Amino acid sequence: MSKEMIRFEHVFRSYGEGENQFYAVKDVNFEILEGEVVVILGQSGAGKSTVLNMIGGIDSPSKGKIIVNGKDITDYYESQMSDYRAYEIGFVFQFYNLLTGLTAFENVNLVREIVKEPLDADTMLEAVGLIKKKKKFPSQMSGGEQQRVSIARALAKNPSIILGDEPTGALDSETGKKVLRLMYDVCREHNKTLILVTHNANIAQCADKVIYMKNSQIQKIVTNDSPVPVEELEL
Amino acid sequence: MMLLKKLLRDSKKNLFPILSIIVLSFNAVACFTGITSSNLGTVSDRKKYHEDTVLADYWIYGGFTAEQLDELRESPLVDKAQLRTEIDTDTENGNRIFLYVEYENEVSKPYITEGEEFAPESDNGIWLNSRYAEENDIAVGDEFTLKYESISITQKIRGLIMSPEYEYYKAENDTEPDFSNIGFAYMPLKAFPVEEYIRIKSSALNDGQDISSQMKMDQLVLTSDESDINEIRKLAGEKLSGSFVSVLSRSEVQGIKMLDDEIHQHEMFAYIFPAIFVVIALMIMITTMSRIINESRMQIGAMKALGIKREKIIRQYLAFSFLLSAIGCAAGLIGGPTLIGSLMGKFMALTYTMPEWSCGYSPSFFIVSAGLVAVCVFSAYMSCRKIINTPTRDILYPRAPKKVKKCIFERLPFWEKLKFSLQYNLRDMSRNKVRNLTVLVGIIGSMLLTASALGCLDTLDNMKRWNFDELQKFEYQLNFNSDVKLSDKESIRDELNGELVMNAGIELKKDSDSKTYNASITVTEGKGLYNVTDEDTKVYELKDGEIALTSVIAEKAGLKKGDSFLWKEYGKDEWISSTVGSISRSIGVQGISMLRSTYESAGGEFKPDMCVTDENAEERSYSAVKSVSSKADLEKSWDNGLQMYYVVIIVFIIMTITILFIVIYNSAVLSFNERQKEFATLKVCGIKKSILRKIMTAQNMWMTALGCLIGMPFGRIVLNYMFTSGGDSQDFAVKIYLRSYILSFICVTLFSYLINLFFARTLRKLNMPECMKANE
Repeated sequence: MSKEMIRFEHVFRSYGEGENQFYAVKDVNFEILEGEVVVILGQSGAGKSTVLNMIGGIDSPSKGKIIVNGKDITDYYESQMSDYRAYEIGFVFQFYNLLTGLTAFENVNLVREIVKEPLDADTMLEAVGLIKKKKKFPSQMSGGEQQRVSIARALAKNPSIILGDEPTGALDSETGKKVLRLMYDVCREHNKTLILVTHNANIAQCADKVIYMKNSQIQKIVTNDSPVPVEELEL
Repeated sequence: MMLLKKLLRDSKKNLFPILSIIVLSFNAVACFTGITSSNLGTVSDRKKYHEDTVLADYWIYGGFTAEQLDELRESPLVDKAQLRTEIDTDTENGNRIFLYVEYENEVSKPYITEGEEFAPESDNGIWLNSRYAEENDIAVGDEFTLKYESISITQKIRGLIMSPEYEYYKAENDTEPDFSNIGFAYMPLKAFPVEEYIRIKSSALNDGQDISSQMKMDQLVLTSDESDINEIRKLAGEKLSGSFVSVLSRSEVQGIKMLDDEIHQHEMFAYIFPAIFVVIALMIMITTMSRIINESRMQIGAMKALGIKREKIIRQYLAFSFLLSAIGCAAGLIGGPTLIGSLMGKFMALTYTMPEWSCGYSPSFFIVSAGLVAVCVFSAYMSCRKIINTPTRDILYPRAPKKVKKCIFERLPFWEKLKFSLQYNLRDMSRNKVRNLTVLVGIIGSMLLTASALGCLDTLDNMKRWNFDELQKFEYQLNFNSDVKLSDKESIRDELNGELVMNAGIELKKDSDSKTYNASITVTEGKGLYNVTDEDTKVYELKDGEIALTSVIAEKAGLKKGDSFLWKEYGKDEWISSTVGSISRSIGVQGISMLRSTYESAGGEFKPDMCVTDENAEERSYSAVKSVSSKADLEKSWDNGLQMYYVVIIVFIIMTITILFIVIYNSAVLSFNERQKEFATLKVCGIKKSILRKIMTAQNMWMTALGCLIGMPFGRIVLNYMFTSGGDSQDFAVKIYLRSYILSFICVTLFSYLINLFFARTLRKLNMPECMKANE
């Protein structure tokens, strides 16, 4: 039996005040287990990115509790939140967000500035199949390659949770599949919790759990006993 | 119009860079037009003033008669000429008034500010200079008394006047003008007690002749189109043989020369200081405009996709850049002359005297403004064209990662061992050269201004040390009356254990065919109270037979140690040949120095005009002594004269703060805007805020340190230029102490750091969720 990794308890997130106040997330409750692959699915404006940002510690709830690895992160100070992001979370962005002035290796090795015992950058690049391009700058790589570097960077911190906000959104179908496969495999192999946000319902088929969101609320949570292998997905 | 409106609305996002363009273009234009307009106004007002008063071109000194004047008037070289006598008088409370007595007034007419026109043929009245009258609450109609030796002259003031010969004047003991204790006046000959004056002058009177006509006038002033003073000297030698002592041109009359030098100095300032602002303004404009437009990349793409014509899009951005720079330049065109120009006029009026201080305009104002606007618009055009020429499809997509290659620093053998923040910044620096160059130029400008401002204080301090610890090492100075015998002066000297000093005017030339220069001779008794200093401004003892020549005159006349030269005192015919024994330096008295024994062996008659001593002379009373000044009085007067320099220092500091703030803050804004997404990504990845702050401030701080080091020698150059462009009547010992360099470095660095720190607060506002979205 896997242990609980993330728990949302009556989480609300509102922006603005008075008449202009609106809720991006309204009374959200769910649990995610260690090593699970979870997809948060919903249309644009459903609140899925806000949920992901709150898990990632780059946004915080207006009300409610978020428990990660047994600790309530809701009341973390900024420095605690920095450490939380550094040690617990690995982000994979839709547009890769690599530092354009650094080579692939340096982008991965950058984590040395962030965590005390990072994984070896070369090993990570080897794992994502880019060891031969380690000296290339982002401008010298394709979108898929850049996203693989981004994954290597996220993994190099050796976090317990990997978050991906539309990680295949900017990629073509084939490359998207490869990237997804890579994330999936690495997380399975290292028992990392993988949470993906997407509006592409097909991606949900490969998840252990799918959280459907609509109008800032959870519509339903579906546990998938037999996830479809990534290579069989129609992206 | 709609697009321009959109641009103006969007400008909120780039408020500081936009304000920088406006403020810097204002500063550059205002600084240039302000100083230049003041100069143009002064030159034009002065020209009118000189024309209205028929200011003389040449002053011939000696003792002349009406017949000699008539003979001189016949020369085709002479346009207008007249005689007058200058009498050094005192008021009842001991203030010095130069009284001009004349029977006609063709040349160098007084300018009437109040009261009647000057009437030289009248038998009563005195016309007093207005500034003395204002300072001493004297009005037209008041009785005014002057004393000359045993003569006391009391006349009613019929008018208040100014004279271009007195554009600058000050009392002997003042460092800067204090108009309450010195002045000048005009008086008709018939109102003057000629008989008593002639008797005092020991001239014999002819009983049968009109007394007025028997008075020899000591000045002949004339106007002439001849520009070569040697031609006038030759003419005076022919027509006034035996009576003529010396000739001075306008450029040699101290009261006129000082303002000439000041105008020249301002002309230099009108280029050097605005140039700093113009260069920085141009660089900021180029970097900022291109950044603002690049940030609108996707919007330009959207406009293109909507079918808006490319010319229309470009036009809107050009209008936007034109608007920004034009607002700044227009404000500078108005504010420069009205604020800086009129303020400078007011400051000039504190020291110089003219009826009017207005501001002038020149086409160059509009050329400089148009140039600035053109550069701003051109840089906007270039950036806009680059984007607009990109296919619409590519503009609308998130920008591909910036193409980069290895930077020069990466070739360093220890590159791999450098810290991440260091590597990151070195790379960013090498990829944003223009932005960093702008910061560098700004820091160099700030450093040179700060070092110049502190150096200005150092120079004044050094000059004070030089004057009071080296040149004039005495506690009291006693100024003798003009009719005192040498033996009386010597007995005062003996009683006070002092030293007698003589200062007189001489003419000096390299050889008989060379140009003649007016200079001074200083004769001392070598007792170490009134000294000569070497080229390092250190005291050295003159030897018997040695003649020291000040470096200012040596340079002008092309003389060096060991060279022979000719000199003669005013009023003497015989030229004396001497050898330059040493090159000395003096603050205000330029010429030759020698010991009394040397002077007397050359046949000179020692006529000391002061006695200097360490003994308290204020408690004693001597009839031979006109006035006594203590060292404290002299130092106080010296300090009072420094007000103008403090204004310069404050202006420099304001300029420094403005430049530093705009350059550093603007650079921080541009660099932050460019790297915002990267910073947010790093923050999302868990990098500490302190490291981000270090990354953000490091580049500006490196540029600050580098700029400070480069700016240091420029500070010295500007300071040197500032002091030497003021003419050669004074020798300034320009100095910047090491502590001032260090202090300037600390001040600029600290201020730069504070601005960076202030800006680093922006990190708090860094929107992390934003970085999850698309690139733009």
